[in-house]
Parts: sequence; structure tokens; C-alpha cells
Amino acid sequence: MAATTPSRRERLREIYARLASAPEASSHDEAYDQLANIIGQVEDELHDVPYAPDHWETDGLIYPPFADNRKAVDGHRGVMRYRSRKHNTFIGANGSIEIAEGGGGVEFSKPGVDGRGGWELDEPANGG
Amino acid sequence: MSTMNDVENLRERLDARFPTATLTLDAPGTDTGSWWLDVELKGHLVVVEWRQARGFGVSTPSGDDYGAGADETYPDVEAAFARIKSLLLGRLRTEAARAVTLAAVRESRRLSQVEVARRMEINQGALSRMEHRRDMLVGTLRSAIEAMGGQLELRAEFEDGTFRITLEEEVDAGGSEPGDAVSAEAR
Repeated sequence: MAATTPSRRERLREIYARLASAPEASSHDEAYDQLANIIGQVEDELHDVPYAPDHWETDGLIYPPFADNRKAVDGHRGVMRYRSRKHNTFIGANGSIEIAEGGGGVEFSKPGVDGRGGWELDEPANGG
Repeated sequence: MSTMNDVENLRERLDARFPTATLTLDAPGTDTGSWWLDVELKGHLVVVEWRQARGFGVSTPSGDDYGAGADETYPDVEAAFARIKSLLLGRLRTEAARAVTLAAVRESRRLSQVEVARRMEINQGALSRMEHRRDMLVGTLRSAIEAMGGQLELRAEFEDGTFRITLEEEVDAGGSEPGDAVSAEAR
């Protein structure tokens, strides 16, 4: 753990930087695991609050999207959406990741291994 | 005839109370997933998360919210409705509370027991015992918090508002409204 806990903004910046530099994922599940693992790594290194996903009140930690908040996106069968309190995380069947605010502003975006974003997928997918 | 669940009931009550608000209900894609209700009134957004097994989470989102849980939780429609009404009318923000021990507060300030005890003019053993107590005088707790550089604030939460409680005698106890500071003795 760091000597002083970096702010949430700093930790998010680190998460996005590690996600951007990680190899592109090739499937929904690989992308989901990559996102969850990187969030876990950064929070383990930079924050001192124990991981407790069942405690749903905020505890200061950054949590990955919850698997049961997965939802299909109308008109984009290759993309799954995970809603959280202000954001939607879109994960494509090709391994693409996009994190957007509810209002639409994109905070992070990364293509899948095929170089395409989730919205470019036109083939039906099984979502991992 | 379909029966509304609790979050649909909440949406209906909010819609009736705030007809100019924009309410957006986002149903889950799985049996156990969260329902989300976004309530926006004059640019002030309150986000509600609901799960049957948990109840309501209420938050006013801000910039770096990614991956955050609910700021506040309420067990039923009545309590959630009262809080959301208060947030919308007062354009208030939710407050995330962390339940922590006195020792955790001290450690978060990077202070040793020896240093805090020195500032409180007690010995380290007394502070150690204090940190393990289940109960203590408010004045003692205040001294400890102030020795760590903080300020102790006491609040009494009710469904329709919050009182900040002070132990000082100069506060007039008459006609207090939520948000006022009131004397604990007088109430």
C-alpha cells in the first residue's frame, strides 16, 4: 500500500493507464477479467480498505462492474452494458471496453484485439 | 394484473410529487441485477439503486464515481422517498459514511498512539484502552478527535431531516428545524 492513499481521481487515472497499456482482449470474458483484475491490482496497491463487494454502501474503494448488472444493448448484440451509479461500462464480444458517464461522455475507450470498438461490431455475438 | 415492485412504486410516488422531474428507470438484465432510477429535477440528479434483497441505495453522483457503491442506503420505499424528496427540494448531496474505529481514524492520520496520547495529555496505555472501549463520554471522544486534528460533529438523523447536536448551553432549543444546531440536553 502507498504511504498516503492517492485520491480516487488519481487511482482511476492509474487504472485507465494500465488498461490502455495492457494487451487488447479478444473476447468479452477476457476484457471483463482484465478490467476487474486491473482495478483490483491498483486498489490493492494504493488503497487500504479491504475488498468487500457484498457491502454495497460505498467504502471508498473502486469496484469492477458486477457480473449480474450485465445487460444487452438494443441494436448492438455484440455489446454488453454494465450499469453503475453514474457510469455504463460497455464490453464488446471482440474484447473492446468503453466506460462512459450516464450523460454519454466517454472516460475510457479501448478497442478489442481486432482493432474495432464495440459499436463497430455488426455481427451477432454471444457476449462471451 | 402486474404488481409493481418497490422501485416502481418509488418512481410512481416521485412522479406524483415532482411532475416536472425527469425519471428514468433502468431495469436489470438478470434476475439478481440492480434496478436503477435516475431522478433529475432542475439539473439536480439523484441516482437510486434497488435490489429486492438489499433495499435502496441513494447517491448524488459526482466526477470520479466510477466503481463506487451507494452513498446512503434505505430499507424501504417510505424512507427512500423521504430522503430523495429532501435531496431534490434542498438540492442537497448525499454523504458517504464510513464506519470506522477510533484506532482506524488515528491510523488514517498517520499518528501513533504515543503522539495522540501526548497531545491529549494522557498516557499511551489510557489511549489504547480508550480505542478498545465500546462506549465513552462525548467529551472524551471529542478530545481524541481534536488531538488528531479533526472536529467531532454529532448528528441525529430522522426521515425528514437532520439535526446537528451541540452540547453547548448557548443554543436556543426552541423552534428548531432540521439543519439547525440544537442542544442535546434541551431535546
